[in-house]
Amino acid sequence: MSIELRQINKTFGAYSALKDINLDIRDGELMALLGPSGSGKTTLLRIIAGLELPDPGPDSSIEFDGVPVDPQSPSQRQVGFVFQHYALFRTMSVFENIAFGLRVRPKESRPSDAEIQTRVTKLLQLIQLENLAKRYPSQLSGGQRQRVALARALAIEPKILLLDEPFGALDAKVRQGLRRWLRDLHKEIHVTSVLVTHDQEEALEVADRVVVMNQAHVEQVGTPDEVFHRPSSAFVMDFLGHVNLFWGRQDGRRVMVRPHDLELHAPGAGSDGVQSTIRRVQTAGSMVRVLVESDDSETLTVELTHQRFSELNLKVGDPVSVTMREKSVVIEDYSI
Amino acid sequence: MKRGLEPQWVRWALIGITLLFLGLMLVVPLAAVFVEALRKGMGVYLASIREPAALSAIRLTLLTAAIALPLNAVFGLCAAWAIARFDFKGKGLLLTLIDLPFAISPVISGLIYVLLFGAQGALGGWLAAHNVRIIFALPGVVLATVFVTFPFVARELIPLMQEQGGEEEQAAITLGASGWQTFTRVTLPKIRWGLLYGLILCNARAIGEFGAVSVVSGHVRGSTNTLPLHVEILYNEYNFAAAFAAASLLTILAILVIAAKNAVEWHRKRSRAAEEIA
Repeated sequence: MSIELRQINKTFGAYSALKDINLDIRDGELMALLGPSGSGKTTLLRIIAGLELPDPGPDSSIEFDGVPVDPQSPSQRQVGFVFQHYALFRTMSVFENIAFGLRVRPKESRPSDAEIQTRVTKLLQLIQLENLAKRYPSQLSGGQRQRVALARALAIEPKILLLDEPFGALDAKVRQGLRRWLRDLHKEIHVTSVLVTHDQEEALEVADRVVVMNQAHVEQVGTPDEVFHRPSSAFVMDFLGHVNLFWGRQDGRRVMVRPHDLELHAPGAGSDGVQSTIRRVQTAGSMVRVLVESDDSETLTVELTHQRFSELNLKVGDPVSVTMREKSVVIEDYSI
Repeated sequence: MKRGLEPQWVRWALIGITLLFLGLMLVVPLAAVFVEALRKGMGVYLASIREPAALSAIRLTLLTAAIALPLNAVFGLCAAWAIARFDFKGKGLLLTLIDLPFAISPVISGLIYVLLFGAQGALGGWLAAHNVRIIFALPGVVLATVFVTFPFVARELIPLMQEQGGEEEQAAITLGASGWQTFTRVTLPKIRWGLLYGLILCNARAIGEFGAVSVVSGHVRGSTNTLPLHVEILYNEYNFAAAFAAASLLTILAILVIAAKNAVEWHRKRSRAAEEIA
């Protein structure tokens, strides 16, 4: 099911959480809303779910598959919502948590007990927790709770799945595993999904497309490749990865460039580069990170392969020259 | 036993003083109630409980509690829900107002109803013209009791619901549950022990309330006397055996309430501990 948002505004008192949001989410895609905290991404997600009402406006509308949704009835939207802190029903077992959405249906459309049993069991298999059906949420680990929350949302066969920072409260290792699992799951069930995250790595890895948000508006919408390699604004470039900032290197303009787009040369070899001195070397990792200070007292981070680093045979205090690769990103009008 | 830093004798002295105090102030008077009640034998005891005025007092006390409790449950839930889940102007004032019956003397709680509904009161003339009796009748007793007991449930539920938050309810709504289903299946189970605890405290006060009820009841024997008022009347008539017999009933009710309260506390601790395991 596709989602079309037109002219969505949301203010809380004097604070503007969303400004003129227009967004199309395609049927079956996994869309990530990425942005720093306070950028409005969670508010937007809650508006799609109907947990929050957008400010009324003449051109403002929310449509699912081209049909406007009734703003007053979140329970009729058939939207699966996974909360950041899971919001599992503490007084119900894992089984009953997942079965809840089926049990509260009106009599005419409620499945029989036997059918509920079958469907919940199937979902328990999907989240690989068959043997924990009788446990209570308090007896589960964070990762297990997250999976139960997801199964509970999937039980109502939602047309849209919304996930609010689904992995935010988990440790790095568990997060990695769940991310991949979610990616695979989405490939399998293909339900239109929107995921909110402040973790750019997570967004780039999981999503089909990424919406980068900043200060209540949309900065850029695109595939992970597009937003990473062709950022439309300085904010996007900065938010998606570490950048260096040059002052007035090219025709007096400001230039932003990623660490892996800089190259180091032994002094004399790259004579047109920026003359600098190595301040720190960090070799733990897949790339070597070198912190250099230019003669104009600018600090730059350079990333290079271990092989290249050992070829150069550099150490802290050595003079080097720094050059940019051809495809480096150049952006004007950026202020920090 | 836990070992403290204090020398042995300090510990025994402290325990001894506590026990002595409790014994003198609580156990002895409580025992005296039963001793006095049974002084003239079981026959007199039973007779003074079965006497019509006593039975009527018991009935009125239980009826009052039976009306006050559900009213309190509903009011307490509404107030706690409003305060814990919504932000609105005057929230602080509402919280203060809920505490008012705790702060005010029970006699005044009764008096305001006399001033409002009594023969000389603001609404007295209108009520008399329509033949409605509130003061010196059951409605007055119930009103006064509800007034003095209404903070119990709300006070118990507000911090509990604030702590629990409303995300589970939002989850229930997105899963298609109606407002009523969300309340009965999600909210109520979450707060049941807190609600029960508040109701038990409320019940204890409703049964034992003297001051406020005394002002509005008019002490009509066999009609508007509650158990505590009945005890007072018998005592003033030097009918000690009967007074203590009635008092023993109140004492037994009190002991039952404490037992129930402890049972609920134990359950709450257990379910809270279960929530914290993970």
